[in-house]
Amino acid sequence: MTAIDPDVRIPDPIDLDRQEEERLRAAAGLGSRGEGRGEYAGFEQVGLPDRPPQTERERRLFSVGEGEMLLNMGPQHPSTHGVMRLLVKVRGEVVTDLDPVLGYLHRGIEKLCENATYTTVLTYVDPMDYMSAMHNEHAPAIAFEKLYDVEVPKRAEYIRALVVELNRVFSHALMMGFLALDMGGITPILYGFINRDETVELLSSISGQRMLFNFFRVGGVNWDISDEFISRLSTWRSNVAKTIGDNELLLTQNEIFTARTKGLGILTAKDAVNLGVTGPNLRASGVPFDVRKAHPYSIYNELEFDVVTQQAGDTYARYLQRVAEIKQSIHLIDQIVERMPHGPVQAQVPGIIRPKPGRAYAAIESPRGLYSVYAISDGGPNPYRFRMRDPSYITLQVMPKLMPGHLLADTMAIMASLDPIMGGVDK
Amino acid sequence: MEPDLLLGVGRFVLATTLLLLLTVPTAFIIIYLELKVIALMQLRIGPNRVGPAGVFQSAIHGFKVLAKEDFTPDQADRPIFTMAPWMVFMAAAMSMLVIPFAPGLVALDSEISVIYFFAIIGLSVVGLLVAGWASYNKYSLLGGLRSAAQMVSYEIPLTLSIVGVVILTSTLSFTNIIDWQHHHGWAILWQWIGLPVFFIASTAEINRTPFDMVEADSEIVAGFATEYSGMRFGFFFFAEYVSLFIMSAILVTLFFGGWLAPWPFPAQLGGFGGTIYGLFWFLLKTYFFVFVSIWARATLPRVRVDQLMGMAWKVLLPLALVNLFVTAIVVVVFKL
Amino acid sequence: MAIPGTGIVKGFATTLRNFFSTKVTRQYPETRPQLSDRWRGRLDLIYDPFGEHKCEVCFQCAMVCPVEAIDMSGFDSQGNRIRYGMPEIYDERKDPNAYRRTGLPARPMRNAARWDEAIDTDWVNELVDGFGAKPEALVAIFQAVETRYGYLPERALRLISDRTTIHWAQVFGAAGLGGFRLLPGEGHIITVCDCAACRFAGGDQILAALRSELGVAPGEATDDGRFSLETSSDVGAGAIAPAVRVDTLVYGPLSTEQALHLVHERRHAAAEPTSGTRQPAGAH
Repeated sequence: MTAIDPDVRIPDPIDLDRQEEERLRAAAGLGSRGEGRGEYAGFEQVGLPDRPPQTERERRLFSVGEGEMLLNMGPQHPSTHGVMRLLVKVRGEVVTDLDPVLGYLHRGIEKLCENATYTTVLTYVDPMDYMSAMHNEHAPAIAFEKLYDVEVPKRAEYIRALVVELNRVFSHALMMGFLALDMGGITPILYGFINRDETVELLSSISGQRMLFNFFRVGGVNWDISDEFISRLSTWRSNVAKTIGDNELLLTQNEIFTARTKGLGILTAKDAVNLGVTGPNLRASGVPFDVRKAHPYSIYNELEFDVVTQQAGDTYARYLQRVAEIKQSIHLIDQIVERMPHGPVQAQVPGIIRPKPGRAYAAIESPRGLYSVYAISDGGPNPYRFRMRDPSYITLQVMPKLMPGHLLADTMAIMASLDPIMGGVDK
Repeated sequence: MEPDLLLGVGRFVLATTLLLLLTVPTAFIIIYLELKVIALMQLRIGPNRVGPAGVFQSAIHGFKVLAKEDFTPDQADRPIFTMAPWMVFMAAAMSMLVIPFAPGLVALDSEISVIYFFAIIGLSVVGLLVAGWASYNKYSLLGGLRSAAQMVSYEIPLTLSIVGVVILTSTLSFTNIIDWQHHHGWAILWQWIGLPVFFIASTAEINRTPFDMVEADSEIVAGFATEYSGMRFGFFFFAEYVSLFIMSAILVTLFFGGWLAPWPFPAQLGGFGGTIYGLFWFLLKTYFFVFVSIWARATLPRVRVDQLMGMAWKVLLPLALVNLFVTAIVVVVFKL
Repeated sequence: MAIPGTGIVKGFATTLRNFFSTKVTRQYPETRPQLSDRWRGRLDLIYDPFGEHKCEVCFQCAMVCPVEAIDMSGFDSQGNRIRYGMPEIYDERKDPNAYRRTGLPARPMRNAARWDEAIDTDWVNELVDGFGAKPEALVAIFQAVETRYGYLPERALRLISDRTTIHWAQVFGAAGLGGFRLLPGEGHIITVCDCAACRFAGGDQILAALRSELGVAPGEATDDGRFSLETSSDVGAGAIAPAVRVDTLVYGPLSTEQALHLVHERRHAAAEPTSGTRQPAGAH
């Protein structure tokens, strides 16, 4: 074709990078990049940064001793739960050090929310922790209701509690499946997905979507539930016992499963509290903290349920904790359906909300722990600041504490038992 | 040339060719079975679009593997990388030579076929090890080393567990073992310790769930096969399923009377009819144990690598030795 | 304490029981899912009880779409064709895509000079209206514009896009695919055909000769701006291979000497480079 702007020549970026890289490698006392290629002297140490270590932690992680190698698990790996990269230092099969590398799924949801009106924020938070979209909407809804000072109708609160508990059931059921899948059992995940499919079918019949429900509104919920929904719920109620029960039969007493999980990755109560772990992982370590009981929101102080805890704090206890919480959730659902009041499901709220300047904080118990939202209003239609605390992010911190000393096969079991969702971690 | 020798050579060439050809439908049938059985156990339907009830699904998989790009990594050790799939596949195919399918239907009726079999089937570990080494990939290396550790450990209980049968029958030929069982009843009647040891050890030997440490996909991606694609991966894949068939066949031959029916063999059935009758019982029993293996895959999670090694040395080896002594005492006491 | 192995046996029993129980899979094309009335994933417009579209082309959905995925056009109550606006903001972002469609190298920013190309806007608008502002007439409109300007000025394409309410990226893409000239040539444009027929008949030698004669590679113009050399596979003269097009004239079959003669002829013809293609026709 004809020459276009011959004066504009973008410098070749690859050459520049290579030169810079060589310079940095020389400064760091490393050999040239091309050295040792095609030799069996040793694998190239992937993951080594092209600069001298900046902190003591980096120096320790990247100094590879005799018989050790750095292994990149992820971001493309069959079992990294989304896109997380685990930089693992292994001696043979034993993990000696580990560094989770985050940020591959960052979408800037907080910033997106700060540029959206209060009503539309609830659509943006859905894909954050995609296993518990209902919970993601619940916390901002409560926060904005506090900001705008609007009273939510009683029926709307009950519907909210109902869908949130349904969401918790399938999230925990899938966790059982993923834990088994990461340990090589291929069937429990299918049973978990059968349960999830029934649940999302149910939720889509009231919200219109299967995954990102967008069901909550400031001051209520989008749609009312019908009698047909209640009857489908009772069908679901009888099916859920079967799918969860099948999973329990396959796993809970299975000798291979217990031999692999008991005593594996013990998280002590002290460590868990110090690191800020919440939710089932904390309760599996024996700390009876549940936001629904400790700081009741919605209608949870009217409902009767137990805060189940396990004492061991190992992978098996975390698994048992999820099973017990599924039963508590089903118990809650029964109560909610029984006590469902009549009335409107949406308070009178204008299309564009402009709350008075102020700040509001709302915390809920998501399937992964304490999920909270902190919103500041400057009187405009958008939140001035919108901050979310996602429990998965906090949970990831304990990995370098739990995994060293265990085998490579156990890293995946421990990670699955902690159940982090990368969509929530990277936001 | 002597006509006998010529006949023998011709028979051998024909038998090896037929057995090589047999590996293809065997692998296809087992792959289809695995897809379908696991699907049904997981409350799914499984393959049902290609052919009636999806029976051609595994053939489609085979064509897909053929059509894929055969990729060699930049820094792989090319000759070894290329050779490794062949070593694994040939170990499986060659060990099929001594399997007695039916009366008169055995390619190599040797006096020491038991020793030949366990020598040849152990060769596949070399293929897996060099495949892991030559790939120039950390996951492959881990998989290759795991395969070496696992298979070398499990060779010992595997071989010891059949010594019981050998003492019982006082022969090293599979055909004679079946003959003995024809007269004295199936070996399982005396070998109920040997059978579980052999079954577990053979499952570990051919890297089936729950002992598939070598290609544990949730830990080391695909183990030794991580860098393989196209038909080279296909050879590993085929070899795995052919090995499953072979191990089930040997299990049936050693413990369940091979091609013998559960009731006395009808005397009037001779020649071709007897062969078909024997083949039917042999395949029925063999595919039952193939089904059991698939069933285990649908049910069990994978054991950890240290538990796997501990089991070999602390449980299976003592059990195999106990079986050996008990069998020896039984043979002496009962004068079998 | 339970007997060891009970858990494993329970697992085996569970899978065997499910082996024989009813399956949950739905065979999609044969059995359609029952979607609720509230299902939001439907990709169609909803009708009112009188059979009319409920969509009033108010563009509110397009305005709030966070990723600007909605691009819509329709008819207002007067029957005029209308399209969702904000072309400056929207198209700015899509420019690199539009360039890639045409095969031109993508540039990060709009070429300011080309944005201000002097064209006869009224003439273009009349031309488009003359064709009824219909998408089907796009190629005819392009041909008319190219006949007048020698190439398709970017500004004219934008006018056409606005006037026909076809998205700019699509207009640009159509222009790039249709073998139209999107950039002005310099001086005489010598196009050597590189279709298979011409290359077999010696087109490569002609191209090599012209390259050494002019001292430029295909896609470049000589320093004095009198000749541009380029190759194209659609000179459209397979029967007279090898063919060379000079401005609007197609010559062929040519030998190397004849091709060089064409260049010499024009080099001596006039002191000033006549521009067959680059007339300031839009000056007004």
